[in-house]
Amino acid sequence: MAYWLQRLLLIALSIIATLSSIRTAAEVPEVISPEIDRREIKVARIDNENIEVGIYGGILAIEDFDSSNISIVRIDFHINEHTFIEASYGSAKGDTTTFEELIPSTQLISDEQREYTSYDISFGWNIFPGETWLRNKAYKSDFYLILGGGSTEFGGDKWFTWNVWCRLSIIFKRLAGMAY
Amino acid sequence: MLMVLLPAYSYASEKLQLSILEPFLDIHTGPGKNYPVFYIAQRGETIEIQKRRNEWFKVHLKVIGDRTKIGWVHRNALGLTMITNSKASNEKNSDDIVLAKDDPLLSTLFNPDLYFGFNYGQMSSADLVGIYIGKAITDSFSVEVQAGEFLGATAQGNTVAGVIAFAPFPQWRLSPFVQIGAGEIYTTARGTNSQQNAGSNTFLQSGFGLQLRLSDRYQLRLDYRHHNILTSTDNNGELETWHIGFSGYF
Repeated sequence: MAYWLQRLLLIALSIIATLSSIRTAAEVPEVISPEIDRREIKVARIDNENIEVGIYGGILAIEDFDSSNISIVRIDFHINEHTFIEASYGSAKGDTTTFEELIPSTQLISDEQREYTSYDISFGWNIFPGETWLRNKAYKSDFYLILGGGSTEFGGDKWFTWNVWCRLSIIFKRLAGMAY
Repeated sequence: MLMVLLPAYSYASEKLQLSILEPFLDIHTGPGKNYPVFYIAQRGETIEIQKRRNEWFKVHLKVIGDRTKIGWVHRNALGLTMITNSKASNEKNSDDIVLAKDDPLLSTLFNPDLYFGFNYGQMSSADLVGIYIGKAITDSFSVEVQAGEFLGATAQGNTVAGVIAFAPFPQWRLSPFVQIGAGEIYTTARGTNSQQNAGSNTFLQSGFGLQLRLSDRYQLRLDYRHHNILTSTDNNGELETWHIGFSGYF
């Protein structure tokens, strides 16, 4: 009997103890309340200027087809200050051949076949970076060697073609993302 | 109480600011090592990034008298500074020094995972020219899209393929790799060839090669690919190609 009562009291006591401990834990006041005003900073993306776009005009001479105007567009991706990868696309229209000029009524190839298109993908290397002086002002200049391959379509046929360029560029003023 | 209920957010989009940790930092007049160093910033000074031209960064630097110096800093020098205004650096213990090159905010700047390249090659007797663009998933694995044109005496056309490449020893300077993938080949007959092979077909591709790391940014790559062309005829076609390529990470 005494044993039974003892056990009941013990259970009751332990329940009270647990409940009270929960109460006290909940009522402990915070010694330091965190009132840190954290700044949420978004760092802006860094603008890059690694892509260069160009438009060219020139004269293309196709053997026996006279010479004609050619327009070329190119896009360069600069890997670093010395090197870049370039893709270019050119189009022109071949003129009449000598035979067609001598005998005006003939047409050896159709007008569509006379369209000249070529593209290439090349690797460019800035071998002589430097500056050019004009009067008292210095301008940034570079001498590039460009080597690549691509395809050329003319006369109703298509060929694999290699291309080699030497390019001297003098920067008088940058149009986009300029001034440094 | 109100302060607790309304968390104070102050959004701001600002330029990246870096604190110089090395004793000195060279600042050039332009984006290239040929441009002279016109100012030397010291440890503790803060630079602000304006923009980037390939490996060079245009920075603003406040100097005595509240004047601003404007110049260019190389990526490698920038990597040894510390970002002072990123979210990560705000939450971290201020005693922790995280170099800019190890900061997650700039990880793609210092460890770029996108690459672009071009290649030339041979497909039996035809010449090939191609481009490829890929993304490194881990050091060993990468996914890549390849496109090319082949120009032969009897057939011409284009190919486009998606591959997965695996390099078991990425840390080696000359590292072997294997690749598998699938794609589509578009063929047009040329000259007197019969029209048998003309049209578009799916192919499965496997290959292996060697890539040579020229610098931390460039790779030269030599590879062989074998294509099984799935045709509607009794026999599947087979094609073997060789490529030499060059690529840059950005």
